Amino acid sequence: MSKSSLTLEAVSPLFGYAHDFGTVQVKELVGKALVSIAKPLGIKTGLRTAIKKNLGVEWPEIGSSNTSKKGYQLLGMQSDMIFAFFDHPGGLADTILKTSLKENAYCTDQSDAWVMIKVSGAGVYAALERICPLNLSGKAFEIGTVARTNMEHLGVIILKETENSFILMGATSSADDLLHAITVSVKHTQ
Amino acid sequence: MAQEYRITDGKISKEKALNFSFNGTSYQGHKGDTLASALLANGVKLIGRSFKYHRPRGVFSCGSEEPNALVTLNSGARTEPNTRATTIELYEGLEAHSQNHMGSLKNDLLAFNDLLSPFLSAGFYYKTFMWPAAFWEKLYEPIIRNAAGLGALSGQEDPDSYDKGFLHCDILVIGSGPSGLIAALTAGRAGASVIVADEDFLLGGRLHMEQMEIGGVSSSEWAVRAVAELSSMPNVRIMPRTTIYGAYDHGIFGALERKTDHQKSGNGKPRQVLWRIYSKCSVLAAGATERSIAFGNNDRPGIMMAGAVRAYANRFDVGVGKKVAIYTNNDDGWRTANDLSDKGIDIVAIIDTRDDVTMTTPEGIKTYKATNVVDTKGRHALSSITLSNGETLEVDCLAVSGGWSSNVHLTCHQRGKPEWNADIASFVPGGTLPTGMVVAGAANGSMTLASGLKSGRDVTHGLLGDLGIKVINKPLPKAEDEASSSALFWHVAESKNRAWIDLQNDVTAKDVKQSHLEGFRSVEHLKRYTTLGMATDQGKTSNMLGLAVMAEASNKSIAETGTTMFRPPYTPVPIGAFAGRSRGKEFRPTRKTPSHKWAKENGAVFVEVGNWLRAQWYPKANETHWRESVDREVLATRNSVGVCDVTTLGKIDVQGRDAAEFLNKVYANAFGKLGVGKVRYGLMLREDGIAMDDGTAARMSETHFVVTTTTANAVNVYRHMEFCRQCLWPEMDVSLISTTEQWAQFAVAGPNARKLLQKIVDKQHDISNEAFPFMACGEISVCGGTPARLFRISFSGELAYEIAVPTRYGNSMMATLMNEGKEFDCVAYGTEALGVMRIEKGHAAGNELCGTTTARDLGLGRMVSKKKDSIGNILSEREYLNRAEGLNLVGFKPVNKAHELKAGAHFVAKGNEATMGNDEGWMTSVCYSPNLGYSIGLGFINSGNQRIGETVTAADPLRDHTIDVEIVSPHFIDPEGERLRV
Repeated sequence: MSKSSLTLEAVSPLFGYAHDFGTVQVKELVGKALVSIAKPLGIKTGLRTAIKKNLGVEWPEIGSSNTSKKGYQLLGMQSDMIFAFFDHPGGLADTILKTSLKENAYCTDQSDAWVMIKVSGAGVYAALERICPLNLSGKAFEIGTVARTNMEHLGVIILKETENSFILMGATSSADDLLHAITVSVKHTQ
Repeated sequence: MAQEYRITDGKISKEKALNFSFNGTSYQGHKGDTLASALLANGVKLIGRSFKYHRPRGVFSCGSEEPNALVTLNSGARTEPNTRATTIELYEGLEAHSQNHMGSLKNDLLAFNDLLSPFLSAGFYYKTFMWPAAFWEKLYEPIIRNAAGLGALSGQEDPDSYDKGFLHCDILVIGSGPSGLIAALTAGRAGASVIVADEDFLLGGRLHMEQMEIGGVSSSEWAVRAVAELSSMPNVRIMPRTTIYGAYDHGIFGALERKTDHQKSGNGKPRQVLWRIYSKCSVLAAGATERSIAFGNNDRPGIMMAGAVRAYANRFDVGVGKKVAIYTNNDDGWRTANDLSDKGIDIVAIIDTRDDVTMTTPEGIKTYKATNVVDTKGRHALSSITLSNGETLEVDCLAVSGGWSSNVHLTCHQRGKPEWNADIASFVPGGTLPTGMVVAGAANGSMTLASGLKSGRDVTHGLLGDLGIKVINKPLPKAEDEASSSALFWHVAESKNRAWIDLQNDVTAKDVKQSHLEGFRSVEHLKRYTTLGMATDQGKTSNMLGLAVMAEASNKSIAETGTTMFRPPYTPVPIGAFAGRSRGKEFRPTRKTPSHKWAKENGAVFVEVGNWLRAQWYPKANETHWRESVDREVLATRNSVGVCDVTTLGKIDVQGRDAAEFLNKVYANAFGKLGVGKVRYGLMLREDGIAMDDGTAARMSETHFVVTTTTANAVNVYRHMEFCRQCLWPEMDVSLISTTEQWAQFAVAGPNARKLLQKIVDKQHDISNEAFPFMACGEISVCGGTPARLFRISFSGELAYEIAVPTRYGNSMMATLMNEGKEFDCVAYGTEALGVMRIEKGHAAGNELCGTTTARDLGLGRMVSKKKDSIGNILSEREYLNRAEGLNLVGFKPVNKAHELKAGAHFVAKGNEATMGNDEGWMTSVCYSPNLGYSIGLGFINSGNQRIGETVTAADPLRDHTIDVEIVSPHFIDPEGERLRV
């Protein structure tokens, strides 16, 4: 067998899980990229300008997110680092941003480090209040808000997509446990 | 048995009967009943036996304060002891049993304890059973524990499930009596986010238990309307069956919601949910608890709190007696007489301790003023009472009211000290309350209806103002204040017989006085000495009485005597609820490696390494012992090639203009001049000079390093580096982020490792020894363009690489490597073979990096560069750490090669006794080396480097395994490192 005849199969942490529980739908998001963008020390406006110019979006405040028409959603994670969340079917997602942001940013691909689970539906609040310590309601957690938290001892990034839809990101290695935590919550509250 | 004590035409719907059993006898009750009300409706008065003396006891109250009517619910694994019949919501098929008796409930053999009561007073076990000393633990204590107690656990695993959750609100209203409901309405109407929680299944509290009016309708009807209005508000969450059991820091409350306890089956849903409620502020409207009066034999079934007797009549349609007497020191007791009389129940007499009573009663009821009950009679239930005037009255129920105590418990959970209010004869909230808490209604001393409503509204207005929420002014519904004067009267001095204070713990007035006599005069000491106020009720009906008697005995005021500190939980919380889902495998998360699926499909035996689940070895069908598998994996790897998933090692991306200098400071050895495309082994020290972790740092570009850590220290090292970056050297341009989960990494080791990889790596990447030598690294692609990273590093001591691909390809990568490796008889190897090979090579790992050893001890002293500063550098120079006779990491082999080495054995010089004084070091890691054919080990021993060839004793007295071992080089295989570089 020649080298070029080999291919590696990509599988997502939950193998594309999707289930409709009635009032809540749980679905693994695949084909999404997550790239950290860190601000080099001493570069005051370069990164913001580069992001605005290349990604078409403003640098987000901590806890909020900004979305561009180009499809980039920037998540404000901390003062000197944000995450870019965008559609990307495969390959190293950080190379795209490294190319456009150049020396203005330190980019690291995190797409494979995080399992991404969309939890949506009318019963989403009842389900998530069993595992999420944050107040996800109304003004306390508006659409586009993002936060780090923990659920059942798992570190989680939670992003409010729409009023009844959240994206939960957790460590790939414990994807099964995060899914289990979510689905148990849903079943307990159906 | 018919419900002969059921009053008709009341609030309980009689349409459908609910069947239940108590001690195997079937009864019927109705929806809305508690187990207690249903039993009372059926004339069941004897519910259980008391804690110590096995006295007959019946229902005493109608709420969570119940000290007597403790029953065991269900049977088998679902057995739940010590539940209060007064709070158990009746359901079809409920099964309850009495507890703490030998033989039947009526004929309890242990009732003879009551005859021994002169010898069993408070603290008797501190003074008796002293000889022989050995008998205490083996004989006396088991007998005493068996004779005294509450219910028994099943000993089986709890089949029910529990859950936890988090809630948030502007205002948490605790309690749904008049002040709680008006507070919730006031806050809800203003638009605040409100949670109103009540331990009862019916919201309204005393409003359902009284015959009062609010706004022109009955108080019960007003409560129903208020709850309906609250239910219609989207900003209000109503939580019945929910006990706020603790007030914690920053407005956080613990709450237990009983989800399915009122059903025969939970249908797979959790029976209880433990909530953490984050509130901006809270209204404590927990009401008040009625207390008793201590008089002779005041514990017989049929003697109950007057308010409870009234509640059973008004709310539950139960007349608890046919001939009822009232004994009271306050006006409230008279209301019981009035309400019962309205229901047609025969009131034999009202006995009031006071002389100056202005209350009126329905015609025909005999009243005794300035009179006390001094004794009672009735073996299993009350039959008569004797008054202080010598008169005996035949009654089957005595309703007692000694006044009301504000439920201040939650105000004390952060050490707020209640203050005595003599006007209402109650402690009221005092000192510093929990953050954001205000107290309303009876809990704050507003004991009457109109004042309670006003109090609830006013405090809520204040909170809304604090929150910046506009108040919607609405007049209070019309209500009147009932008469509520009370006397400070606690116990009947002329009673000759035992006067019970704490019914749950069998504590009498005499016990309290004895405690005082013996010097236990602080209320906290009183509690410990007598057990007053302990157990499931925490003295809700008895504390006040006990400390009043203590105050009298010590000739102090009640204010001076004080009260014990109330601590969470307010009522018992099952351990299962605290555990929630965290049971069994759900106790903590599991991390799986990228090739977990492949490993599972190929029969791997897994081991838990921290949270990680790693393949330990891969047994073949013909292998019957784990050693066969591990030996095979080791030999195959050393002879050809093996693959191991090493993703669990920590990986940290270090980027920045100062990345190299940053690593120079973090690592003990130098990194400043490491070339791009090169890897270096690195050793980190703690600030005190002790070895912290080891790993590698690969320079991917001028500004980009990939650092690896041990699996165990991945988080610690990352945290340490972040501390260094943010706190020690914020001026450095460095960015860190974990990539442990981003990359699936595999060790490919063995003489044929390169040949195997050459089949995988895309051909434009030259990985020959010349182009990609030992300690090289680079970004490559594999299998037709999949991005990858390749590191030529070796933990096994063989020609080896670590190859990383994005995690999504990890499982496929493992399968591909194994498939392509068939021509080399490639094996997958697990952590055991990994461990064997690193011991054979003499590499330190977690067992050696144990938090007490230094670079010098590990034989890595020369790595601590003195040409630069780094964390731990200076303190590693401490004289003691560098003494000549200090520990050295060396190898060990058994003198008799048939012997097995044991990790943990301690070394003593040959001929010396195995004592602490002779201890010279210890064995850290051992394995059977299939290459050498005998057991080998690594360990630390004093001056080990100078003692190569010496025989010492490896003593393992715990496992009775003491053998002679020879000190050897730690490098059992390829000491010159030639295999690495081919």
